[in-house]
Amino acid sequence: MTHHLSTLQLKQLCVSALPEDELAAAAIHTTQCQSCHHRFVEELKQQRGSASFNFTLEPEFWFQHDHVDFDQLIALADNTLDPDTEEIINIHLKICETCREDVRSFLAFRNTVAREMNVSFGPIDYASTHNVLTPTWQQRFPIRPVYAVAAIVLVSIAVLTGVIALNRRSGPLEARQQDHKEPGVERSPNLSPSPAPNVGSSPSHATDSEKVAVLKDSGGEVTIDKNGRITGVDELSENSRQYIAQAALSERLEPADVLRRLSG
Amino acid sequence: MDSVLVPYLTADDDGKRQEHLNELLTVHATPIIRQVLRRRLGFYVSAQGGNEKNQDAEDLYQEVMTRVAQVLHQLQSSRGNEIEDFGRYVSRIASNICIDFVRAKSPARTRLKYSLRELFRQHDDLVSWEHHGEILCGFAPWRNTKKSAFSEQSYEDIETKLEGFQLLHFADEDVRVAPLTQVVVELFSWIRGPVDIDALVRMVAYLLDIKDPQLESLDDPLSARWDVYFIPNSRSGEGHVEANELLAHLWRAVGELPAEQRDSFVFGFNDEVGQDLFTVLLTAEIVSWDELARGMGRPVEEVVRLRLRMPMDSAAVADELKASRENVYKWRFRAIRRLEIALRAEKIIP
Repeated sequence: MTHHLSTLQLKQLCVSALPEDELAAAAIHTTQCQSCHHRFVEELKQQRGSASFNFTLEPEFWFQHDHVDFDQLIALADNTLDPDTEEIINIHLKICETCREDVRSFLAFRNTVAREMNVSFGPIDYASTHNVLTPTWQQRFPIRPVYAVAAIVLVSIAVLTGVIALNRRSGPLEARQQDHKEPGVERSPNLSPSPAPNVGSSPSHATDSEKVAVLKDSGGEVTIDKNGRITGVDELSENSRQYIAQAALSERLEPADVLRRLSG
Repeated sequence: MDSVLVPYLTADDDGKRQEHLNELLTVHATPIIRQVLRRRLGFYVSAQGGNEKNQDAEDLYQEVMTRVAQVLHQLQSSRGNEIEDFGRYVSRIASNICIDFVRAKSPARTRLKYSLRELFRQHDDLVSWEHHGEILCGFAPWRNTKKSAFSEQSYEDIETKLEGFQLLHFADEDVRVAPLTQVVVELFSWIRGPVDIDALVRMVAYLLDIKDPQLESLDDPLSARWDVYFIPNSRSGEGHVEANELLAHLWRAVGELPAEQRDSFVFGFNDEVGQDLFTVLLTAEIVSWDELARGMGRPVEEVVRLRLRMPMDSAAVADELKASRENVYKWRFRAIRRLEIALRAEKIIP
């Protein structure tokens, strides 16, 4: 640039209001032209007005806009910040009420989630969820303790049903053996699909010949007779025993009412 | 009428009027808008109104500029009111737009967003992922798939549908006291596909009735806070000579800093009126362009380019230095400590 800068160009140079290449050319011109440099400084002074030069080295001022972001919140909660960064964040937190509340709220939420996660029992099988609009019971399962209780009942039913199914699968051999040793244990083919189970809370007096399922485990023996009487699970509630007996006799899993309600 | 407006209002032809309008916007309005954005929101934009790292800052700058241009146009066509102080008028427009922005940008929703992101980090079955620059979220099997059509609806439509959702899924209980996990699971099941996290935040905030307290006053506490830092250091009354001496010492001490600390400090420097360090030093005649270039170890063209972007926020400094924001924080922090020690040693500051 060989010509002197116009007044407008000088004003624009002062506030950097020119395209980058023009700005550079104008600035370089002022380094070579005493007159334009003088006019440039005068224009700067005029634009600044009477304000005195003042600055601060207060860290609170320098970090006032450096708000705590999500990654820093995590590092803060995990206590993985290095000492310098921690000090800087603390400086900011001293003056930023919003960030202080962010940190407090985040830590509180993290504790809540941790508590909630403790009642989660495992992965959710979304692939088998054909109707996503109505979530499967498993999806809702980890949410509240009442579901956990329902789940325990369901798991018990599933275990017993599995045992029955295994017994049936190995039917011929067992049947022969039972024919020989315990003929009465064989399931009656004429069993009603949904008999009203007679669930007693006291140990059963039923004979072995009336049993339709026997489960032996380390805790003792669980038996169900063809009348729906169940023994060996006295610690379960009457409702739960009823469920188990009904499932065993009917060979069908009826979802608990609470789960039926949940799945809409 | 403010005298700076007279040439624009009395221009004979459109060409001249446009020239004066450009001058009013770029020379007079821009520095004020930049300063207001910085003070009220901590938003930094370049002298051209740009900030690649902060779209909100660019949008706000453009909004204020558009509003100012409209006012000037109305003024010229004799439909506007008299403006006694153009600078103050621009500052007021910018401040009001900042307040509107703060009102719309709810801290409570930001906290909710953080909570949701944390939930997605902790829960095996609920996840978030980045897709074309957006954070999407949903059930784990949906990971890395695109956003569902649900998000494309207007928020008014979604809000109406949320009423139905609430009746269907939370008929017997108060959704506002339900665990967040449950609300999110129900929403994902209802939506049937990935949704962007901001839409989810809006929906959950609506369901849980999360609101921020209303801003009562236009007087932003941030603006008042700015001045607090300068009062103890104020050298008003001591004259420009001493103030210039202070600046000269500062510049010398800055020159002693390691390059990264120097740059982190210089690029983010604001003086009391919000001016960048290069402008302050040039105005006070502490340095020339050449001396600035030597002090910064860069050619003049580079210094001019840097000044265009200064003062910069931490993200812009990190971008300029190709470093992480954490490193910029540390370099700046150490620079401040060193400068304090250096200026104290020379008895420049108490």
